[in-house]
Amino acid sequence: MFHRSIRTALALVMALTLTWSLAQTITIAQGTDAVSLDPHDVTDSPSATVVSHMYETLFDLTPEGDIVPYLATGADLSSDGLTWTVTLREDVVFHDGTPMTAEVVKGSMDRFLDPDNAFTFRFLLSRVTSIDVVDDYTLTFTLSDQFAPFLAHLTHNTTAIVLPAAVEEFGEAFNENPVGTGPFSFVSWDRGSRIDLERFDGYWGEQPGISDLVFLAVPENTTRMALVESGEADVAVRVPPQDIARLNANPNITVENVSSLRTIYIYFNHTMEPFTDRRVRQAVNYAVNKDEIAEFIFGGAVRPSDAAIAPGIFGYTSVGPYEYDPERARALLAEAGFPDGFSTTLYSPSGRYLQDIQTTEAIQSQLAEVGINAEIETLEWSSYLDFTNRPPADNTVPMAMLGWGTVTGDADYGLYALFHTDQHVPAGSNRSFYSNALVDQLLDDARSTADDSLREQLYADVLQLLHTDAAWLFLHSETQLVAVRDGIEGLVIHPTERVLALTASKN
Amino acid sequence: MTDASGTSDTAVGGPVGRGGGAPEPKRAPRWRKQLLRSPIAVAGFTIIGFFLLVVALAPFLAPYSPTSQSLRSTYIPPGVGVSFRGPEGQLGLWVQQATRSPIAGVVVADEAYPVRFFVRGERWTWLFGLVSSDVKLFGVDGPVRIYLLGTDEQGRDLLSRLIHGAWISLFIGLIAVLIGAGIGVPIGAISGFFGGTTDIIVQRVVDIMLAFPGILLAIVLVATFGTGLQNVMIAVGIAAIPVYARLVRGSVLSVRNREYVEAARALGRRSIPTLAKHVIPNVLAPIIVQSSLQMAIAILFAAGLGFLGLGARPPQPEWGLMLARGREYLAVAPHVATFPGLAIVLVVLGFNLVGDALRDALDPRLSK
Repeated sequence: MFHRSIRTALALVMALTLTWSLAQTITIAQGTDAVSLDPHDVTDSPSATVVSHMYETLFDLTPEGDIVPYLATGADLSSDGLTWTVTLREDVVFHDGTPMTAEVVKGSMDRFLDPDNAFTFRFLLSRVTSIDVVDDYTLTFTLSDQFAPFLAHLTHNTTAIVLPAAVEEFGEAFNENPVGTGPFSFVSWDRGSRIDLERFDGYWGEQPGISDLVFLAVPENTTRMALVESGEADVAVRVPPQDIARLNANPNITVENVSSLRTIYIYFNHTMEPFTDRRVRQAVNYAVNKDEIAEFIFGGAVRPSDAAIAPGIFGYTSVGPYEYDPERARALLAEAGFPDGFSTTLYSPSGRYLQDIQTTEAIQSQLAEVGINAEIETLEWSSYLDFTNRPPADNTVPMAMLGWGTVTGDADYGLYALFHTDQHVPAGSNRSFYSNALVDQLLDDARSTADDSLREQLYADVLQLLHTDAAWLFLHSETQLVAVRDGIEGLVIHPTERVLALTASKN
Repeated sequence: MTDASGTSDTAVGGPVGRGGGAPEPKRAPRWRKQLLRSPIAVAGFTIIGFFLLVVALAPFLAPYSPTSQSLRSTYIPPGVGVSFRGPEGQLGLWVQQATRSPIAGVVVADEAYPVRFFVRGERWTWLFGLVSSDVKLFGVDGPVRIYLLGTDEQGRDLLSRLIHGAWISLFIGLIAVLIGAGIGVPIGAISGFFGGTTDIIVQRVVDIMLAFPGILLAIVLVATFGTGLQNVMIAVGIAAIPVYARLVRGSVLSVRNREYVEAARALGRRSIPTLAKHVIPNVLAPIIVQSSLQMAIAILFAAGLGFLGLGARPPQPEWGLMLARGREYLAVAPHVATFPGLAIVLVVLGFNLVGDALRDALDPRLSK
């Protein structure tokens, strides 16, 4: 009798411990709230972070940069390079219990590609002309032209598989009623403040070690850091560099430093004097001390750029930085007909990127030393994007700071959109109006060949040309500084600027 | 502060013309005496005088240019590297180079250099080119920089920035008050003097403007015109118009039926000259009081707009902007936000004290 009651008590304790450990919540404090929870419509990393816990893509990009099957089990390319056959996992169900079949995937892809929906990232798969269901778990994608980055683009979080029936059911409100296949399902969204997710018990893969996941939107840096210091949040993104040492001194907190695929740069308007002159652009590059900025504005937490894309992206080759050389900058300016320098305007975001306005001010001061008098203009983010997105005739922006995250891990995404002549704004994302026939040709070739070593060579040539042309004022590739409280295991800080708690647990 | 501007029109609106007759020259000495006896007024005038002096002598007082940065010396705490004894124990101010290393924090070099007064430095011109010199009040005799109040996040000397930023705040205040009074006073006077339909229309427009809190009106205006110092002055000035219009209307109402006004009318003077010669001089007192308080409000609004990123543009040493940027560093370098904040508090306090003292002095009901 006594024996039995001990056993019961033990069992009870064990059960309690188990429930307790299973009923764990991880809270992630982000800088901004999600804009949309419709994966096809997501364009920013905070939204992508949330959406990635509820929706999944056919393929996945590992933090190491490998493309691995996710909802798909594999893909085969036909010999003419125009048809991809994709096979799917057979054990996947949506949060409402609907099984994922080829028909569902086709419906999701058709929605993503429908020009009427005008999704920003539709261009990722714009070469897909038709999608056909072969059997329940097999489908084919037919391409108009060979397209090497196809699988890389299927890892992009905006190509995630949604449930067409749910899209139809919720209509406009689908954005606020996510139904995906991921390890977490949607609970609630308090706009501007917090998003609650819970573990999805029917998940096909490894079950998360936590029961609930909360995302907080905390724009104020100091407040966000205070949350993680007090333990109200377990993870806080975008640690200001000046706070790294202080947070690391806290025995319960570690600041993770993970490189990002985002490159920060200042582009020149190549249609506007004096930046039509390559010598002027080179002079600006020589005049700015990128190493000093990286070390003292960022506390050494960023990597000065030595190419237009960051390491870790397929196609990256180091083509060397422009070393700080103010003498050479003055000489080049004199050669270009500006011995006394010139005046211009430098547009800068304020608070969008890590230390953005601080960097701009440092650059302004360094440019002044070689005689370039740049007045800083800061605009609110949406008008900033609008100002820089105008066609050459209406465009009044001579220089502006921007960042570009090559989140597919493939150079095509980072270079084609930013440097190809077809991509001049407002049609594409080439805000600098950079145009070089040879670069266009190389980028087109690199898209249409499947030979990886040839593609690498083509991109190396492109990067070298961009460097010689001084297409941008090259700055640095960003670093994700994330404060994590001890006891959080398995958190993935992805180079695509997403913090993933898919398999995380909390002790 | 809002409180002060709200009550001032009842406190000083009516009584100026009391006693009747023409403007009384005898009153002036009395309020002047009272003003000078009041410790509040003396404190206020001292503060304002101090800031005017700083504005007038800015490039002479400030050791460095407000924009010269040194990324190797970011957010150095106040006074680091400054000591009162030299390497051999001699008295005087001595400076050692302070730099910040990302790993080791603040590092102070060994070599000390003496601070000298009336040294030659960079050449400066000031007051619209009137003054030009290369003499500075103090500077270090050696290849180091002195940071009495520390540096900001770009390694710029905070003291130099505060000094160079003083004129921005005072100038915004002055222009805003001139705009507000220049437009608000005539509108209010006409509205009060003529009454009738004019009064109703003007006062309803003023009502609409007063319905917005002043700072909100200024934000809306800046958002419409675009950011920048010039637009801040205009926006803050416009936000002050209804305050003046309402205040002056009240005062004019109280004097427009007085004997001297009727006398002027009876003598055949036309309305506008009567208004200008006989009415407005008799409502000047509340306008002066309001202007002093309005200076404080305008400076605060301008700093608020700068704080929100709607005012001065970086790297201008505008105090509100400096405060906003310093806030990011509050946990590691509180001085970067503290000093601009103190400067704003002090100058606003100065104008408020003067405004209060003026009101007391000009209000006969309060005189002993």
